[in-house]
Amino acid sequence: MFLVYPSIDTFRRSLMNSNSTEFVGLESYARVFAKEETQLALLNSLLWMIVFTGVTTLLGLLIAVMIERVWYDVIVKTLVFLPMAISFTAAAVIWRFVYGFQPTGFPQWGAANAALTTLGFDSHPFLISKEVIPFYGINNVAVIVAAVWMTTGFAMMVFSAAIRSLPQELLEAARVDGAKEWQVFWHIIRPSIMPTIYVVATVLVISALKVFDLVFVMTGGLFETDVVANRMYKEMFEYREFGIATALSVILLFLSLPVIAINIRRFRRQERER
Amino acid sequence: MNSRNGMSRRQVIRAGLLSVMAGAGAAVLAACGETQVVTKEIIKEVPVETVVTREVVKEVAIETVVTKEVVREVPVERLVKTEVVKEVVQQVEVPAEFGTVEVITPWGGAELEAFEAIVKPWEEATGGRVAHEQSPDMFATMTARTEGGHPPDVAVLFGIGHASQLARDGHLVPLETFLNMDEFAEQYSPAFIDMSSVDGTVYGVHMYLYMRGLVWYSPSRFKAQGFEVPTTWDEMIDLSDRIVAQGEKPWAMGTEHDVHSGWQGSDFIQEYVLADHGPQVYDAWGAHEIPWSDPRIKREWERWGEIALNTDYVFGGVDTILSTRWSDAAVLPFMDPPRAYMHQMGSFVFGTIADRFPELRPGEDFSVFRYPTINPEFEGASSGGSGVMVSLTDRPETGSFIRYITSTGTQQLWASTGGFLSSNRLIPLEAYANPVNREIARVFQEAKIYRHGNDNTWGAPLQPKFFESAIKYLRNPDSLDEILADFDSIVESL
Repeated sequence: MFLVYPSIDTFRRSLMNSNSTEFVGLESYARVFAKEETQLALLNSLLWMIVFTGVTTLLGLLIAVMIERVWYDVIVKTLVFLPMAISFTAAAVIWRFVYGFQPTGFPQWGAANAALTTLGFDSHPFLISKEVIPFYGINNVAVIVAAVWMTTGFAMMVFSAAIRSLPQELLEAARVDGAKEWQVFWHIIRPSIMPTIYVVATVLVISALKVFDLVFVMTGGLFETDVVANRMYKEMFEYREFGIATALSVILLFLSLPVIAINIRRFRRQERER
Repeated sequence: MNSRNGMSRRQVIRAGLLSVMAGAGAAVLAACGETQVVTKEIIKEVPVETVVTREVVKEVAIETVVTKEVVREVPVERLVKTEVVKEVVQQVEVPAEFGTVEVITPWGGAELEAFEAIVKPWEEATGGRVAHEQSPDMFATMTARTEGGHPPDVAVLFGIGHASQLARDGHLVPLETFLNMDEFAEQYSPAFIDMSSVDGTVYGVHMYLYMRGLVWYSPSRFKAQGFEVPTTWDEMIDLSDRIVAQGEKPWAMGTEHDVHSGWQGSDFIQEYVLADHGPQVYDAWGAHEIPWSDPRIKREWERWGEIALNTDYVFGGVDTILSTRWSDAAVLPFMDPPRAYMHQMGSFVFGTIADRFPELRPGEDFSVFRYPTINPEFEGASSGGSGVMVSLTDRPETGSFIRYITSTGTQQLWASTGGFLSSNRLIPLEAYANPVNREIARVFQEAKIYRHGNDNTWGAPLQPKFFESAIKYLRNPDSLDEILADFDSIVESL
């Protein structure tokens, strides 16, 4: 009721014109793919899906494995996990301060630029310029960094728990047999926690697809940082283009379907194996 | 345009606390029998201390004795306003049963404080209550409330476009239900009455007018440097060049305002179109009779670019413009040392500057001048905007409130709180709280040509598109033709 009806209505509206009064078929979809702004939002969401998911998973895994056998693991875990307790909007505000920009030669209140200028570099408008990486701006990366900072704790915790649950004898046996630490990781830990990696990656892909607050607060989707969810909001509430907004949300739904499907299939297989 | 003076959470809480306290105070007063005498004292007192309204309100709530003492200390010249209030309150008739008037506005911060101080005498005199709700998005709120069948009694809408749309949908109550329209026509100029009418019926009153074509500067710094206030575009460019030659920056600019970033460009370009090509072209452009790709419109985009894109002119250059919040840019000319000398911005930025630098003397350390004349043919052309106050119910409480709030006395009182520019033409310049407000009111009253912002009438999708495109233009000036063609294709699809 709460899920199916809105979905169907969204789909219905996506086939209608900008104020949902006339049936126009797939025209809205054509416009989504033709319009520069929406193209960009789709591409940026793709970038988020790949970079955000990849970096967060790897970083989480790396930290989980590295702190596995040190005595101060609780401290590290707490520190990495702490940002999870902050809401996305608050984190976005914090990172906006971090990236705060003043022209070179004036007092910098943003941590990133304060560091840059202390080291003798020119200050850099992180949330605006896009010249460092062609096409995909440094500002996209800057926003993704904030997201990674927030979510790595989650990935690390799940991985850490998965590694903890491995039978210690297995690892000990491998070490006794003379396996190096990275061999232990690659041949024993990695395959054993593969299902966990899949689950984490799925969750991250979905959160990458629905990221909104960070972009909304940090750049407002300006300067080529728009993502699908943000554009959807804009088309819906600012431009009152219901057709494009709903078409975007249907596309978003279809984008997340394969991920969900893969996940469900894995679950089923696991159940069968048991 | 969305609320330009956003309200912080602390202010919301503070406002909430205040109203609770005020309510409690009223209850105490009602209980102590001497209500009438005491009330009169309060009425006299509240608007008097315009600067410390908040403290005074607190005192009212806690101790009535304190209130009486404050009244005794009223300086003579302030008494005039006190009389005004008494008069106004006497005009308000009190029906037997008087309830709460629900008011939705976009106001927060200083604007809300002033509003609360203004409605106080009405509340005291009638026993009615004003339940204020701040809405950050009037469009969404009003759609939800009217479609949901629970309209507020009174609302302050952003643009005349929104007001006439609601009027056509039959949600608004004509002002003639409550007001003597002959008197009304004396108080408000025909241009403003026209703007809030649909098919000859008046539905709204313009509140919190703001002027767009203003430049904020520091008269004391100008004097120290021997600068003259420029009156023509060429003089302004000369002055800018002179400041550049000194190794300083003439202009401060900032466009960052979350999703609304870029409205400054929209404001400026509209002002330039009006000042350069006059009201006919401006209106025709607003009515889509002139395309956006028209060379005259394009010229004004470039005029904005002549200043904004000139790295010598603007503090920090384009990157700084884009990453500076609009309210932070407004204070740059008043910092020590000044980051720039001039800042083009609407009258509503007054509070931002005054709050940030309480030690600055308005009129001497910060003030405004009218944007220099671009085309002598249209000298004195000014544009601006306002909130349109409309009523959605015809309850007696609503009527009493509307009569009170539109009266010249109330408007004058409101003007004295600072920041409020009234559209009531009977208000003398002296009524305004400080020299800066007075200067703004003078620019407004002396405007030979006055237009509301076209973007207010357009609404979505052109308005947000304008904001977004202004940013796009600053980042990539070469794409101007594409941007304007884009507008034309949107207009076609409307």
